[in-house]
Amino acid sequence: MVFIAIGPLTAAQIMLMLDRFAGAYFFDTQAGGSAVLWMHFFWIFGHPEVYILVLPAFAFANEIIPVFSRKAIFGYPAMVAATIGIGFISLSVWAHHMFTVGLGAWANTFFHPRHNVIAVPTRIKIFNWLATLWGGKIHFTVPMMFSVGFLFQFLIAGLTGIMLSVAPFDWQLTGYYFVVAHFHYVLVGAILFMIFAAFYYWYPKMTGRILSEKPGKWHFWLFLIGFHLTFDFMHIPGILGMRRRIYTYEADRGWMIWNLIVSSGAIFQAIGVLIFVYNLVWSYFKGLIAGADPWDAWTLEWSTSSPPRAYNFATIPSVGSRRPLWDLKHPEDPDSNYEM
Amino acid sequence: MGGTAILPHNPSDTWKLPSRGIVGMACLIIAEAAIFIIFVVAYVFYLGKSPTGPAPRDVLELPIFTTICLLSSSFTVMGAVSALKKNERNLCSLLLASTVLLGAIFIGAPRTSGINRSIAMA
Repeated sequence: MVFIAIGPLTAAQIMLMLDRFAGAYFFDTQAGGSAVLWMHFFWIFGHPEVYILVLPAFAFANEIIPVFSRKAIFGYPAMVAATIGIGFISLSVWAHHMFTVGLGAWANTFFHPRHNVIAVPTRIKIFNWLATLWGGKIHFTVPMMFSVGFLFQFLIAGLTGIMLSVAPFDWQLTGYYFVVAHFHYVLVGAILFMIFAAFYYWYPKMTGRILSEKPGKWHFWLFLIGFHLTFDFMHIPGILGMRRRIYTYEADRGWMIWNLIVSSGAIFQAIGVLIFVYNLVWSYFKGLIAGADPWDAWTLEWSTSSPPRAYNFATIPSVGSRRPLWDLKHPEDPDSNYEM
Repeated sequence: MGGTAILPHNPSDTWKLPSRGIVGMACLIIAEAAIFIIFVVAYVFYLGKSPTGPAPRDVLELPIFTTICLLSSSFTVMGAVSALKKNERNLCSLLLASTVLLGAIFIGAPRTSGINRSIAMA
């Protein structure tokens, strides 16, 4: 995806450079160029880029949610197929960012359902994560708390994404704060939450010490409250007509109270992040010793010391299933008996 | 290795990584194709759009000789690799030198427009 998506941006930037410095006019509308062409090239990169960012977050969830549900991941083949499907579909839906530039009814009619199709593999993933939780013995450790937050917020982000993929609705809200709230729901509510989850999950493996749980929970709750104060309420001024990229507005617009709530949420988030940074430093020196496998996990990295030696494994290990460490811990009932 | 012991390695069921060379070359081709497709799209988009010119045929010419040099250099460099595998070092050196010469002709040949080079490379 990176190779396919970055190329168009590179080519477009070369043409832009020629416009700026060599007297070309690819995108200069005053000289016969087309700004819409630039928009196409940018969004051919821009939309897959969102999925390039979120697919690693999905991978973190695939690792963390099963371990703290004490269950193997539900529907692994469907998860893989959904990931590949999202990758391919995301390369062909860029123009839903351009409904209002005048592509015409036929183009809008084509790209509207194209974008909705991507909701299918995405919902398969949500369903499988929920099914993994279902009936599991859930341990609400800090990485799991962030993962549950991710699940809820990614669902909301997807739903507002579907709203924006409907051309008439998009016409009303393109360029407004509703869109800003939507993509921050993806970037912060989904991706950043899973990055935090991954930090708490793999920090012991990286450093040999566990991130302290008490400040971790403070971090989670403050960031969760701050996130929802900021980005839930950011949708409202967007619906009320507040455009993006404005720094001030007249007092009688009715946006003041909503923006006050949005700003107060940012303070909660900032305090949460400060606690996280403090926790990173404090735990590095004084955190609990992690040992090789503090989470009773199932993948190979947890069979090595924390942090791992430079050579990882003295001999190449043999992997008989997707949970090789489970197989080793439970020789009476290994996954390799069930997996192809 | 620290921590828990690992199941013994069984070479008979080893899953092998795909060749780095093949994966790398496939990635390079995909990335280059993505870039040049955009250039071609821009070219096609503007084809015939300028009412006053210059039209593409006014500024572009088919660089036949330099294109032959460029494509031939692919064969000479492949021949050099084959020669090296057979330990024919003199032939390898000759073919490598030919590759450099053909590349130098391609880059250095006089041309009316730098666009020609881009078209040939595409």
